[in-house]
This record gives sequence, structure tokens and C-alpha cells, in this order.
Amino acid sequence: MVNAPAAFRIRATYRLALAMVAILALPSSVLPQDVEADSIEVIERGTPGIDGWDIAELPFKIITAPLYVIAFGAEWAADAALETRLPARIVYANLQLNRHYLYPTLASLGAGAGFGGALLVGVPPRAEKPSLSLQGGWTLRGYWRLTARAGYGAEPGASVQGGSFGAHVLGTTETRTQEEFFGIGPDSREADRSDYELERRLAGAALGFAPTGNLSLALDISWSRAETRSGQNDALQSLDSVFPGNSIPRFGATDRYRSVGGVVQIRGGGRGPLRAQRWLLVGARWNESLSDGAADFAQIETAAGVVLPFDHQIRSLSLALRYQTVRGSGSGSIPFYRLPALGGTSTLSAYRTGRFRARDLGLAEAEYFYRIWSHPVSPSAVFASLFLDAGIVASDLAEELEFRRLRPSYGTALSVVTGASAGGRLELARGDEGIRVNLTFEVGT
Amino acid sequence: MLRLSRLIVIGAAVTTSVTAACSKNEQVIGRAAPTAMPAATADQVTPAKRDPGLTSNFIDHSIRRPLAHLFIPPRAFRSWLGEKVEAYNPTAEDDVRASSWFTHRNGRRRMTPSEIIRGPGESTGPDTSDTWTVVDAKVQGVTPGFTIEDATGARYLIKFDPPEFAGLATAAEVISSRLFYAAGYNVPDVHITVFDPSRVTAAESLKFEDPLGRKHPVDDRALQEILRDIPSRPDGRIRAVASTLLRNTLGPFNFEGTRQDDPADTIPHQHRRELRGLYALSAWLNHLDIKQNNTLDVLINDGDRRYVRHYLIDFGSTLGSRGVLPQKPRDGVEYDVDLAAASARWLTLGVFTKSWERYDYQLQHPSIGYFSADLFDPGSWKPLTPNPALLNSTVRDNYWGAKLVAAFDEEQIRAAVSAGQLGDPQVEEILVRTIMERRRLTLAYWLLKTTPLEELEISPTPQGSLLGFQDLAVAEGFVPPAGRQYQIRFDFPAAGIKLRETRAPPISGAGAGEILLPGYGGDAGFWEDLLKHPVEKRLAKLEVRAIPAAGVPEPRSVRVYLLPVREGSYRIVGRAY
Repeated sequence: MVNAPAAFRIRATYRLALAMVAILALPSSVLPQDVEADSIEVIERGTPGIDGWDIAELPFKIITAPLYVIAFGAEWAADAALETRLPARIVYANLQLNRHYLYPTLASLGAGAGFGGALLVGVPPRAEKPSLSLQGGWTLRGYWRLTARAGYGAEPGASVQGGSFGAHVLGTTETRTQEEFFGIGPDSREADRSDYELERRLAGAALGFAPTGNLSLALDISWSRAETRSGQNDALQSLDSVFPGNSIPRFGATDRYRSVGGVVQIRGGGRGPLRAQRWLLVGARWNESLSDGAADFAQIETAAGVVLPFDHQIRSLSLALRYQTVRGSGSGSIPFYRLPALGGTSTLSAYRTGRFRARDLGLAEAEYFYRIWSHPVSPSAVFASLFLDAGIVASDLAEELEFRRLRPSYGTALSVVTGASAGGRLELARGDEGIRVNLTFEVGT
Repeated sequence: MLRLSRLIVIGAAVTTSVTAACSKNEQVIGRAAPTAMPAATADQVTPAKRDPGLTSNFIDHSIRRPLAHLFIPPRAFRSWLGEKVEAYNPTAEDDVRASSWFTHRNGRRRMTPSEIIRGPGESTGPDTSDTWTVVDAKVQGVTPGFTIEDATGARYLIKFDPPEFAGLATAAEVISSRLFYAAGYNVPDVHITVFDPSRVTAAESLKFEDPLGRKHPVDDRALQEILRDIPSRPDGRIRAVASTLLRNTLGPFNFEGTRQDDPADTIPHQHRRELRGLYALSAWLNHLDIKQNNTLDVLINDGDRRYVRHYLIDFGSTLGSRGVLPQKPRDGVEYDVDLAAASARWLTLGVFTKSWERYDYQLQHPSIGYFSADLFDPGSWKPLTPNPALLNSTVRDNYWGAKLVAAFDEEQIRAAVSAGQLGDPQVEEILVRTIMERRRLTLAYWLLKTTPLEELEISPTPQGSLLGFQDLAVAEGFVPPAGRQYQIRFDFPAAGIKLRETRAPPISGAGAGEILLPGYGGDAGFWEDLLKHPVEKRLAKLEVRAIPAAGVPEPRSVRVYLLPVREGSYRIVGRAY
């Protein structure tokens, strides 16, 4: 192949440009010359052809042509979906399933579990109704969970009306295949990222009572069995190779516990993202070991928060504080996976799920959120937010709490809130270890 | 270096192209089109039925096109500049010709109140003295709709009000339909009807289509059950709106492009003056749902001629009604999905807000919904989804539309509101007052955007030619007649006349005034010389620009094109606002 000389290429460019100018200038010089005085009038030019803006847009249109194809494809698909009444069919199919006591859900199985779904068979818990259900969930990362539940009234601890009562017995078995682990203590390293598999079974009973709409009490007793082993994520190092020997308490062991716990929740204000709210939660649990080498321990959690809407409820400020601790008793170790953890979509989102783990946890969250779009008829809305969180894990928070040791997580988020049981959040968060994008959503009951 | 020079050349070419493009809106002289063109006609019209998707239309206009601004910077830049092409089809009077799109009615000759009440057809609605037979039905959505045949054999589409809002959608449909018709648009003949549900029977073949598209046969008993769910009056009768069924329908027309199978459809719809001018009218009456799916093309067989007539249909989302619910203050201020507003809020951390967000309101009346002039901004009003013709509208188009609005007086508006048969004088009074106030705001906005001189007329006098006019801004009371001043630019190159003056002619309270134009030598030599020029060079051009009050942006001028006549005066051959 022979390349044209540079000078020729320039001339060709000039020619092209001149031709373009000539073509565009042509219509303005071609004016009617032979009109009769009696029939003349002032008119517009009529239908103009291509204009300069069209030419200026052309290269961008060519570059973005694939996006156009995608957009038209999406529009075609949307029409086809409506024509075949797909949305109505989905709603109808869901209603039919519900009528046969089947309740599908599109949701994950907790932070880090990946995309998944669940199906509940039976009558789900609800206020002042008996319930009996079996719920199975599975995610693309191989996590699964099966829960059988029977009882009366709303699930203990759920947001309920004043005067309601709930009593449930339940059994759960689950396998979490790729739980991430980075070590214990505030100085754990991201380079030590490894994974483990957690298999857990639990049987228990719970009682819930809400004397008023603002106060709810829950008590439970349970027996559990948990086992850990190397995780299934081949891309990660195995936990025992990164932390050899017995440096990780109770890794590879089987732990049996009997637990009794209670939670008190006090809520004030309305419900919904733009209502003034304040809340306080205090929970305590005693875990008695039924296995050799595992310690008895207590878990305590306190959290408080407030949502302050202002400016005609267009914007709000949300503040929250949380403290969690575990305290062992006697000899033995507390299983590492029962230690409080920071990181993931719900706590300190600039870090990986379970990034920091230790006996004590402190977390402060501040979020300014504002409505950027609301549905004109339904209560659905999109909120944007700026958030700044700071958290710390420590073996003794009272002694180790220092400003410089706080792990920051700040960023922006878009949240979709719907009146129905669906919602989602897209988050861009930055922390000491870089930027993370988190997407969470839930569709279904 | 090489690349730089190439860039410079291409840049210059593009700039020249843009400049050339910008000059395309200049007035030119051309052969007059036939003066009588009652309808766009075509002998061999065999158009196919269109069935555009509702969802794709919404996604295309509400999401894809706004997003395209991100990827096509020149488009965003052009939009930011407000650079728009003027309509392609105005006449010499800056009007439109009567066509199958638009017929001059109230704007040309004042319609009587009874004509307004009567609307487009001779029908007075279905015959309620005998039984109705339901021949087709839909039960999807919040309110059902039927096609009925009355005892005379006439068929009507019947629609109802949403539950708890008696009169809301039905009155809005009839009132707005009457006003759009009187303005000049084609609309179906609609009437309020009140019928006894026990005298409604189901046709033997009647089937209801459920939301999944399955058809179920319906007998009289099932029909009565459906009718029982529709809110009725204390006497058991049901109020509805009945629309005469249009025949030979071809589906909706698009608000952009042309109909390829209609040879008479040559002007892109987004550049049609009568469609662009709909912006001012739609804003006035809060016609939120103005989209292609609420239009209808109908094939008219008129003897040997066949042509397509274009209708606006479904005015259920006008005034204070959103069809199935009352409107909210947000409606008319923001699109349903308004990416620009959402992005502005997002990027400014919520500092950017719209007027409706801090507006506390109460529903005036269930039959009115939310219909107010409080947040109404005629220049930034928005329907539910972006409409290409409305987006392309310019000041000239909206001035044209505002003149249609101005043509309605209070008596006519009362007549239109009475056609809604709301039955409560207080409610009707609120509607009339609100429509009148929105009319005032619409006119105040658009009339002051240009120099609104109408009724232009030349009268020869010994001193020169007097150009008589009526200044609509004065006539409507937006500007006091005393002290109204105009900048005058008069160019008559063939006679060597060039005039630049500021004048304050006496103007009456009704806006009538006169401007004296310079005379010219009318001897034989002058005419001989003049006729040597091509016709477009023989013209005189008068440009008049109203001088606004301090702090008010300068309006557009009105350009008047004058042809010298033998008597030494001029003949008006064109104008543009």
C-alpha cells in the first residue's frame, strides 16, 4: 500500500472543505428572479436541507452509533414487552404464585453474598396472623440458606404497630462459601485478603412485643452449630495459607453454642426517607459454648440515630452512631467470625466486606441526602447523597480510640426508593484503600 | 504541524457551514403559494395505519434524546445557545394556511358562545332516552371505557371520571376540546352525557380484554357488575364523556418527521407552525399529555379527493386533571422524567430546586383537581414528556399561538366551561377565573417577547403613507399607551431612503396607532428604473421594535415588507414577528 504525500493530503482536505462550503452556500445564491409583481409575497425559505449543526454533529453521531443501536434495541424491547404484556404477566404470575403460597424475592443473602434470589413457601410472618413458611435462597457466588419458621404475628424486631405480639420458632441452615477475611485487629492488611467458608445451623425461638408503636422488645433463645473451612474463591489465597498455624481463633473447628439475647428498639417520628426520625437500639446476647476450646462470650450492641429533614423536606441530614463489643469469659477463644466487623455495603462501604474485625467496633455515620426526582403519582423517588463515615475496630476501644486511627469512608450515592417492596442504592465510596463502587438492590417481600 | 493546519481548515469549513446554516432563517422573496388551500390533498393517498409504541416514545423523548446531549457536544451547545430553526410554513402574514391540520376559526372571526358550546359536530351526544348497547370495552387502567351504540345507531366512545373525583376528567375533556377546536384544531366531537346504567346492555359479541390480553365474553349481568364500580350520582345515573367515533382512522401522527405514505405531508411536523404554536395553547390549558399517542390521523374521502386530516384527541389530562388523578403542582413545571432537572439537583447538591418543591397546596375542589396560575410560567411550562414540535417552538411560533389564546374573551371561556356541565356555579367560576388568569400570564409573556403590531394597514396621505396598526401589548393592558415608543428602521434602497428613528406615535387605549412612512418620487423615470430591478430589490423594509420599560429584555422587532405602488404609496406584502 502506498501512502499519498502529505502535501496532497492537505490539498485533498482543502478541496473537501471548499466543496462543503460551496454546497452549503449554494442555496442562498439561488433566488427566484422571475416573479411577477402581482404574485409575490414574502415567504420563508421552505424546507432547508442539511445545516451546519448537522455537520458538526455528524462525527459524534458516528462515534456514538453503537449507543444508538443499544438505545433503539432497548426501546424496541420495551415496546415488545408492553405489547406482549410482559409487566402485567409478571405481576399476574407473582400474584398467582402468592395465591399458591409461593413468594419469590430478588435479593442477596447479606453483604458480600452476591446477586441472588429466594423463594418462600407457605404463609410469611405478618401482624396478628399465624404463619408457617419455608424459605430458600441462593446466590451466584454459591451462598445458600434454608429457613423453616412457624409462629404467630410479625417477626420479632420487625417494624410493627403498637400492641402487636409475635412468637416464632425457626430453624436455619446456611453455607456462605466465600466470606472474606483480612486478619484481626485495626492493622490488618488488605494484601492478606483470603476467604473461608462458613457452614452454620441454628434452631431457636423468639418472642416480640411492641407495647406502643415507638417501642419494641424482642427476646430469643437459640442453639447453633458452625463450622469453618477454606473458602471457594479460587482467585483468593486460602485463609490457612495466609494465616498459618492457629493464629486465627477457631478456624477449622466446629463451634456449638447456646445463646439467649434481647433487643430493645425505641423509635420516634415518622416512617419514610424524608420524615423526621430518631431511634435507639440496645441489644445484648449471652453465648454459652457447648464445644471444647470455644469461649463463652457476651455480645453488646448499641446504636442511635436521627434523621433531620429540612427545607420543605427536600433534603435531610442523617446522623448515626454504633458501638459493638464482645467480651469473653473463662478460657478458650471466641470464634473469629463472631467478632464485630466493618466494611461492605452496610458499614464503611469504601472497604471490602469484613475488612476490619476485632472485639470492639465503633462507627459514626453522617449522610446528607436530597431528592433529585420523584414519581409524579406514586411515592417512588430517587435520592442523591453525600456521606462521610468513620469507623474503628480495636481490642479495647476505650483505650485505643484515637482520631488518627479512624478509617474514613466518604462518597456519593444514588438511592431508589419505591412505595412497593423494591429499592436500590448505587454508591461511589472512597477510603484509605481506594475507591469502591457498590450496588445493592432488593425486589420482593 | 500538518495536523494543526488540517484542523484549522476543517474548523474553518465547519464554522462557515454553521454560518451558512444560521442565515437560512432570513426572509426571501418567492412566488406566492396558492391562496386557497383548504386541505392538504392527494389523489392517490393510501396510507397505512400507524401504531407507534407508547413505551419507546417515552424512552426516546424522556431519556435517549436528553442523554444524547452528553455524547454530542454540538447539540448541547446549540441547545444552550437557544439556536432554533424557524418554522417552515408561515405565510406572508406570518400565519399558516388553512389545511387539514388547522382551520382559522375564533382567531379570524369571533365565534359566538353558542358556537363554542356546540363544538365541532352537529351531534349533541348519545341518545339517553333509550337503551345503549356496549359493543366494545376496555377494563385496563384505573377507569374503564366503552364503545356504545345508542338507539339511533350512532357509536360513541364513553369514558368516566376517576373514583372520588366526579367531573374531573370528563369536564376537562369537554372544556379543553371546545377551546382547542375554537382555536383552529381538529378534535373529535365530545359531550357530557348522564345515563341510567340499568338501560345499558351488552352486545352478544361483547368481550372484555383483561390486562393479560385475554378476552372474556361479557353478558348483561357482568356488565352491570362493572358499571356498579363506577361512581354514580345520588339518582343512580352515571356521568361520562361521550366522544363520537372517528372512522377511517390511520393511527396517530408523529410530532416530528412526515408521513411517508401521504404525498401531501411534505413539511416535517416539528417545523410546522401550527404544531409548534401548540406550546402556548397547551401551556395555557395545561394540556400535559400532548404526545403522538394522543393524536389521530383520519382518511377523508371527499368526492374524488382523498386526504389525511389530523386530529388532537384525549384532553383528559388538561386543566386540573391528570386523567386518573388530579394534577399536582409538579405537573407543568417538570417532565415526568426530567433528566435535566434531576441532573441539576444532583450536581448542585440539591441547591437547584423547582418552584413546586416548596409550594404547599390544597385541592381546590374534586371536580377541578389542581389547576392554578400560581406556579404557571408560560415560557418554561412542560408537558409530561418532551414533544419535538413544542421543543422546536420559537418566539415567533408562540406569538402566533398566543394570538390564538388572545382571541378568546371571558364570555367565550364561560361558554366553554359551561359545556363541561359541572353543575356548580362556584366551581365553574373558579375554573373561568383560573383560565382567564393563565390567559393573562400567557399573553403577558409572549406579547412582550416581540413587537406585537397587528391589523397592519397602509393609508396614503399627502404627507406620506400611514401605517396603521394595533399594538396588542397595549390593547391587552400590559403596556400603557402613553409613552409607548418604537425604534424604526426603514430601508428602501431603490428610492435611496434609509431611516433610523425613535418614534412615540399617539396610541389609543385599544392599542391603535399610526406610523408615517417616508414618501418617494413617483415619476415615470423612477418607475422605469424601479422595474429594471429584480422584484426582491424593489421592496422597502420597515422594522419596528418596541422600546421596553427599563429592565425588561428587548423584544423582537416586527419586519414589514412593502411593495411600492403607482399611487406613490405601498402595499404590504409580508411581515414577520
